[in-house]
Amino acid sequence: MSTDVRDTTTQRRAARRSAAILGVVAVAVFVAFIAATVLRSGAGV
Amino acid sequence: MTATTQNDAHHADDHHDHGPELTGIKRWLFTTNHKDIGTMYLIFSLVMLFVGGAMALVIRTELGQPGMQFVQPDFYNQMVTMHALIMIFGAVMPAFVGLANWMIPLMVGAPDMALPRMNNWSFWILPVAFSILLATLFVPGGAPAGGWTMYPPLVLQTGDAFPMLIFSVHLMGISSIMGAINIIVTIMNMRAPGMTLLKMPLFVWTWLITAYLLIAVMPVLAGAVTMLLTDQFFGTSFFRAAGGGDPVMFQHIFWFFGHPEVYIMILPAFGIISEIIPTFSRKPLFGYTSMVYATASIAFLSFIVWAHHMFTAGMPLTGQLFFMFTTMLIAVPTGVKVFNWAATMWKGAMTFETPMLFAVAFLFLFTIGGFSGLMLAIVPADFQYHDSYFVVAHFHYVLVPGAIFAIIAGVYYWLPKWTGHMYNETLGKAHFWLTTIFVNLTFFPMHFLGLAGMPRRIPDYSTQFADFNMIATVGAFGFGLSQLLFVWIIVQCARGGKKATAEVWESPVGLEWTVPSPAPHHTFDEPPVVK
Repeated sequence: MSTDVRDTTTQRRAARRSAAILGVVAVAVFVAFIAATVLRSGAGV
Repeated sequence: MTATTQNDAHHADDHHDHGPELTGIKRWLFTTNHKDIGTMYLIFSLVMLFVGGAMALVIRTELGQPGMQFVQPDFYNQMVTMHALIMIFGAVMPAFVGLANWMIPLMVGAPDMALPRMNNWSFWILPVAFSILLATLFVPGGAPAGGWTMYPPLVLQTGDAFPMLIFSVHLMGISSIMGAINIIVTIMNMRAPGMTLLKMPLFVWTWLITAYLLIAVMPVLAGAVTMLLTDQFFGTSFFRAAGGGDPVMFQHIFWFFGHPEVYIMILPAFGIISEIIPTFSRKPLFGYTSMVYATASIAFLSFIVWAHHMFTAGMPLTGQLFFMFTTMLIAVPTGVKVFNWAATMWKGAMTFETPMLFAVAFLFLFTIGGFSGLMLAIVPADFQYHDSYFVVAHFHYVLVPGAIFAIIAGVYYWLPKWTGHMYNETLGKAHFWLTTIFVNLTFFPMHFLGLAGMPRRIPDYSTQFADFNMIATVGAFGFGLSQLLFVWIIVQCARGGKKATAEVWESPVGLEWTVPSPAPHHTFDEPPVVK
């Protein structure tokens, strides 16, 4: 990357991709904990 | 770290310095500017500090004398629950996010947060969430009264407020996760050329780690409260013993969120203190790399200590030992930090402007909170201390002269950069001394009350506890009133005063001090080069 002209388009595209991955991780944690509680209690639903 | 930048005072009037495109209310509703959003977060948290503080004063008023004087027991419980929820999710966390919004792009040389529109959403969800939460005070059955931990089956007895509580917690969680994602991707993708990870300011490091913690644990809280919701309204029995569920399971899940949450509220404070102490000691931070590793270690350990909150709920001896030792282990990286701050000050050319006073007070008083935490980590001792005022003293020492002192220190430290004016140093020092004296008057006697056996979350108590409770109540009113002085100092500074230079302080280190004061609306359109 040039030091005097910031390529914000590339930076923001990479940022959006990372943000999407982190969002998926957050949803996966949410689902995983509910699923684990169902398995653990056996009577969740 | 040295930096060259185009954003010095010479260029402040060129195209980088144009103000917001929108004016009036639209500027604030639709802004995508990190400085505007940071300001809104900080004002919101200040408002919530006073709302939550007013509830604390209701609590302390009732506890001023033994016997029931002013409020009904159920309303007292509502105040205790709402005070905690508002202070944690409405005051402390948004204040740190506000500081992050303002300072992280400036510190890493980015023109803004990586995802500015999401940033706008992250903020504007919060007033909605807290409007819903505060509205519960006016619904049949009143506000939630089962404690901020929302333990079933007690919380399932909440009236019409219950779904509102769950929805507001969901909104707070969504806001926090979006904010955390934004902070991570800004730090990872938008740093100025040459700013490697180990050249980042400590405040940026601590926030990066905090943001990962948020993404890991806020969905856990969301999952837990979703299961409460389905237990209440959709016939599930996740936590209903009558249906085969396990109420203690909720406690495990809650504290798997709750303990990292404690560090979410203190790691950014460590970052602020790590910025302030070197500036006013006129020395580089001692042990920068060890500070980074200590922060990461604390974050890792925060995931394997959760059950120390529930020793008395019952668990195998091996479980008790595991959680006791892992909890004690946290003292090691925390000790590294405290000693590094002390070593930074050692033989430094120290001066004690208001931010430094708050930082030094943080060092002493947070350490008191840390030590009482170590006492609580010891299983047999915890069986005595559990649910007593000793616990209340402990976590208030960590959160008030800990987290809130660091926030206040950060506000004084960066206020001239935000407003372009120096605050009134004499009033700042007066605010410091009043706050420090009253915070100790409020919370120190609670150690004695707890050790003498006074339980927490009660509106009335035995007469033997009367004197210390009266002292704590006087302290609480003094502390609350002292914060009006803080507001006055901020307002005065925003309106005018002595002009601040770009550096503000004597040779501080960091890119934020290379831009003019007040920081122009747009900064670092052309990236600085970090050498």
